[in-house]
Amino acid sequence: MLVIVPAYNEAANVPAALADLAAHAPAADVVVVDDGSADETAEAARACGAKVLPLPCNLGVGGAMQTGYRYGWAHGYDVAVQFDADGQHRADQIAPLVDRVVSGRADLVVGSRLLEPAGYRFGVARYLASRMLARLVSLIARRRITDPTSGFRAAGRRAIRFFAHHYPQTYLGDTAEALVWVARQRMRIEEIPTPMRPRASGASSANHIKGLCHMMRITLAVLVDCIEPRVREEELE
Amino acid sequence: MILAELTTRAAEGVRVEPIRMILPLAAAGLISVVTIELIRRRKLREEYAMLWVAASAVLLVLAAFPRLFLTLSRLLDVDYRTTVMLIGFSFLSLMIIHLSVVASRGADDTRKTAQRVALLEERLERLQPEKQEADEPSGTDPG
Repeated sequence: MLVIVPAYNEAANVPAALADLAAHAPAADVVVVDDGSADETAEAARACGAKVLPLPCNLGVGGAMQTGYRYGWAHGYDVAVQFDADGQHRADQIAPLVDRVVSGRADLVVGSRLLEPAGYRFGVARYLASRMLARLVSLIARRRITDPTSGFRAAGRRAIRFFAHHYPQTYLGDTAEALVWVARQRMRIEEIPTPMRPRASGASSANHIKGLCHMMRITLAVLVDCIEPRVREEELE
Repeated sequence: MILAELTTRAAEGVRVEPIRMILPLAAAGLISVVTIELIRRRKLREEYAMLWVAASAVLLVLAAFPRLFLTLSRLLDVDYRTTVMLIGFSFLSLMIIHLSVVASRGADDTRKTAQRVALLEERLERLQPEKQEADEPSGTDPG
């Protein structure tokens, strides 16, 4: 199992995230993708014994995540878990996510903050906008998706291969778009309830207007995805 | 010259006062100067240089011979200024779209290169300790 931790200027949070992983997912290989950080993110991760993929420039979450998937595909991993460095995701929640992939029930499993009241709160505007986005993504995926922007996911072999070649690069929209892309490839998506922590530190997109704008951008990106042709997976290397 | 003849015939009776030629000439001249300067400083790649040289040449000719423009508009039967503007705008849009495509392709290439660099760097780091061990028996390392 591979855990991909994209990190941009997260030197302060990376040690805690890696300690969490070491405690609750000791069997997993952890790779930190340093997205061209200006701080000591890479050094902090190396000091904790993690493998580091140092990007020479800042690509954004999408580009960083894809680097992790390329690593996962090149090294033949069967499961890859997306795990944020900011302390939001909990390593003890990885096991149920991975189980669904290993048992062959799904190609992509998403940890949803909204399937159950799990103690996570959005702002009101962002909540409404994210509900709309969830509806839209559910419509395209033809199954109920409650939390399309959750970045806590586990991907199986087919999804790893797909993401290594095609991963959405939209700013902050990579999560929702990745779901839509995977759904359009007729891969199986599953959502399970996952408790998360509020973000430890770093800039959150809690600003209401900003959050709303992000949601609108993501919605537009998702609509554009619907007119893109499907990828012929059998032609991928 | 056929062109000159055409010009005089089509735009007969139309006189463009020299004072009204100053602004278009200045604009076209500015664009030409900027283009040439960018080429001189090697800031423009050849394919774009040619594009902009051609564009500024057309602008210069049209600004220098305003009646040519009138002739053109009559030949194409577009008298309405808005139409002329829209045609010009469409050309510009096409050029800009082309440049956006080029920029997107450039960003894609940069991303792929950066990702490969990251993967290679990780591999290098993994291989290097072994390499150092392998180097040690040769005894070239001074004490």
